[in-house]
Amino acid sequence: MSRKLIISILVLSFALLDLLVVRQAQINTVNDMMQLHDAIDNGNEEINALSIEIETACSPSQLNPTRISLEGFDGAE
Amino acid sequence: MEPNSLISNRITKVAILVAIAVGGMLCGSLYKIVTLKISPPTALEEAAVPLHSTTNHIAKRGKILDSRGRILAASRVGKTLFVDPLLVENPEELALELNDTLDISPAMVEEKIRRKPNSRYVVLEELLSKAQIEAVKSLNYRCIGVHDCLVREYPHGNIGDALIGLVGTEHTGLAGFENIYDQHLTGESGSVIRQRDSKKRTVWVSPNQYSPTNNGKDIQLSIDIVIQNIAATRLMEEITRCNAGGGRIVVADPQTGEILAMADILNPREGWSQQPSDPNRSLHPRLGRNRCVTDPYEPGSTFKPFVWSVATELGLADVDEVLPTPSSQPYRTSFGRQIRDAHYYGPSTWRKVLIKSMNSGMAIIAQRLSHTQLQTAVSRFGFGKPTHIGLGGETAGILTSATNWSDYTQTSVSMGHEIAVTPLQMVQGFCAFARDGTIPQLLLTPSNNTDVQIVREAITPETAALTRQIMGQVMTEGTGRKSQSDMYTLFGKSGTAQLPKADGKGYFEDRYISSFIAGAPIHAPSLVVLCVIDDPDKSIDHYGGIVAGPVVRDVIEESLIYLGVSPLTEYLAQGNTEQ
Repeated sequence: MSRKLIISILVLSFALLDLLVVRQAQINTVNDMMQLHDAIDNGNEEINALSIEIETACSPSQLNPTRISLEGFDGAE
Repeated sequence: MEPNSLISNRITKVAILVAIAVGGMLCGSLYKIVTLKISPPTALEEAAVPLHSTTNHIAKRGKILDSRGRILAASRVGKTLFVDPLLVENPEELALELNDTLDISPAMVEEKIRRKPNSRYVVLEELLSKAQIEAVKSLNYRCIGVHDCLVREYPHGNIGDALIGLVGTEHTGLAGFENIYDQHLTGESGSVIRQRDSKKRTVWVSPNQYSPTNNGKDIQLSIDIVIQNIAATRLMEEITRCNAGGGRIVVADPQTGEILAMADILNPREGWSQQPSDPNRSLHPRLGRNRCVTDPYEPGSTFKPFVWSVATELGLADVDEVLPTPSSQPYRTSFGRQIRDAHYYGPSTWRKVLIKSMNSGMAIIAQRLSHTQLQTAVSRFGFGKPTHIGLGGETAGILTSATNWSDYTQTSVSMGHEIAVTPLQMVQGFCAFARDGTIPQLLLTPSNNTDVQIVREAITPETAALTRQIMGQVMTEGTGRKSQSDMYTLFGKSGTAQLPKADGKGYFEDRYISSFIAGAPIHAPSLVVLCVIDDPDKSIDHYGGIVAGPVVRDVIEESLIYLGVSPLTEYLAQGNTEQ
C-alpha cells in the first residue's frame, strides 16, 4: 500500500514537473512569436519609410533640376 | 530476520523519507505561492510590474497613388517624445541631459515641465528624427517616454499640392483627394493586451484580447505626377513671363476621359485691381480651392468650334459657303448690333471663319440657328451642367436661361461670350472632337479602357472629324500658328476674351482671359490640353494663341514623348513610309 502511495507521489511529481516544462515552453513560444511580430511590424515600417524616401528622391521635382543641369554637359571634363 | 526482508524494509524507509521530502517541498512551494499571492512583501510589491499591458496599433491611412503607382501621399509611423512632470525629480538636470542627447532646447523643456507640473503627459518633441530615436534609447529616465504617431508624407512636395490636399491633426482629410476619399483611406486601429512576466516578457495573449488593425485602403488616381509636373511647371513659367494674375491647365485623355493633370496657380500682383484670389491658400497652399472645377470663365473664341460643328451638322452652312463677312468695318446684325473682328478679311468661307476666328462669320450663322437649336447645341456638349467628376465645389457654369435668351445672346454665345464655363467642362466638351463626337465621363481614377462611360453623343463622327481637320488648319493658317508643334500635328483653337468687371458693369477694355485648347496627335488623339491664363499683362502679351498656345504645345509635346507616342508614329499614320 505504502509502496503504491510512494510511486504515485513520485509519478505525480514528475508529471507536474513535465507540465511546468510544457507551460514554460508555451510561454517562450508566445514570447518569441510576439517578438517576431514586432520585428515584422518594424520591418514593414522600415520598408514603408524607405519607399517614401525613394519616392521623394525620384520625384520629378528632384530629378528635373538634375536633368536640366546635365543637358549642358557634353561628357568631356 | 531474512536478509531480503531487511533490504526491503530499508528501501521502504528511504522511499518514505524521499516521499516526505518531495511532499514537503511541494507543500512548501504551495505555501509560498499562497503567501506571495495573499500578502506579498513590500519590497516585492514595489518591484512588481503590471501583469497586463495594452499595446495600441495605429491603423495607417491608405496611400494615394498616381496612375503609375507612384506614391503621392503615404503615412508612416513616427515617434513623439513626452514627459511625465510628476515623475521629474530635477527639471534642470533633465533639460540639460535632453539637450546633450537629443539637441532639444533646455529652456523649452524646463518651461514645458514647469507650466504643467501636475500633468502626467507633456509633449516635448512632436516628431523625433531617426538619430533622436536612436539617442533616446540610451536615456534612463522613468519620467520620459516615446509613443507612436502617424505622419503623412507628400513625397512630391508642391507638385499637385492643392489637388492632393492634406490631412489635419487627427489624420483625417481636410482638402483635395485626401478629403474626397477620406472614408476609403481611413483605417481602423487595433490593440493587443499582453500578459507579461516580471521581466516584461510577453507570456500570453488571449484570443479575445486581440483586435486586429485594419489599415486604410490605397486609392489610385488617373493623375500622372510627371505630366502634372510638366503642366504646372510650364504654366508657372508663362504666368511669370507675362505677369498674369494666375492660370489654370487641364490635361485629359479623350479616349478614356481620365484627367492626367490639373493645375491652378495664382500670382498676386502689386497694384492690380480685381485679381483672382483664394483666401484659403494663405492658410495653407494645399487648402486652396480648385478653380478648374469651381470658377467659370468666359471661353471667348475657344467656344467657336462647338457652335461651328453643330451649325455645320444641321446643314445651316456649308464648309465652302462664302459668307458676307466685312472687309474693313464691323459687321452689323439684323437687330443692329455691331460685331468687331480682330482682322477683316472680306467675304470668307465658313471654313475660314473658324480658321481665322472671325466673330462676324459666327454671328451670321448664329442668326440662321433658332434659339432652341443653339441652346440644344450648347447643352449637347455638356455646358450648363456639372461634369460630376467627384471634386468638391464643382459648378455648372453660367448659361442664360431660355426665357432670357435674346438675339443678342444668340450672337454673343456663338463667339463664346455671355456664357461661362469651367475648364473641366471645356475639356469634356472638346473630347467630342478628339473622339467620334461622343463625350466621355471625366474620371479621376484609372479607367480600364474597355468600358468608357459615354455621357452623350454631341455630334456625328463625320462632323467631329471635319471639325478636327479644320482645327488642324487653325494651327497652320489661323490663330494657332505660333503654337504649332514641329513634332506632332495639333488641332486646336485660341481664345482671347475681355475680362468682365466684378460689379457686372461691362468689361475691361485692356484686360483679358487668354486661353487655348488643343488635342494631338490629329490622326489618333490621345491628349486634350486646355490652358487658361488669367489677366496677362497686355504690355507683354495677351492673345490666347501667343500666351496660352505655346504652353499647350509644350505640354502636349513633352507629355506625348513621356507617354511613348513617337512623332514617327504620326508621320507613318499620315501615309508616309519610313526611310
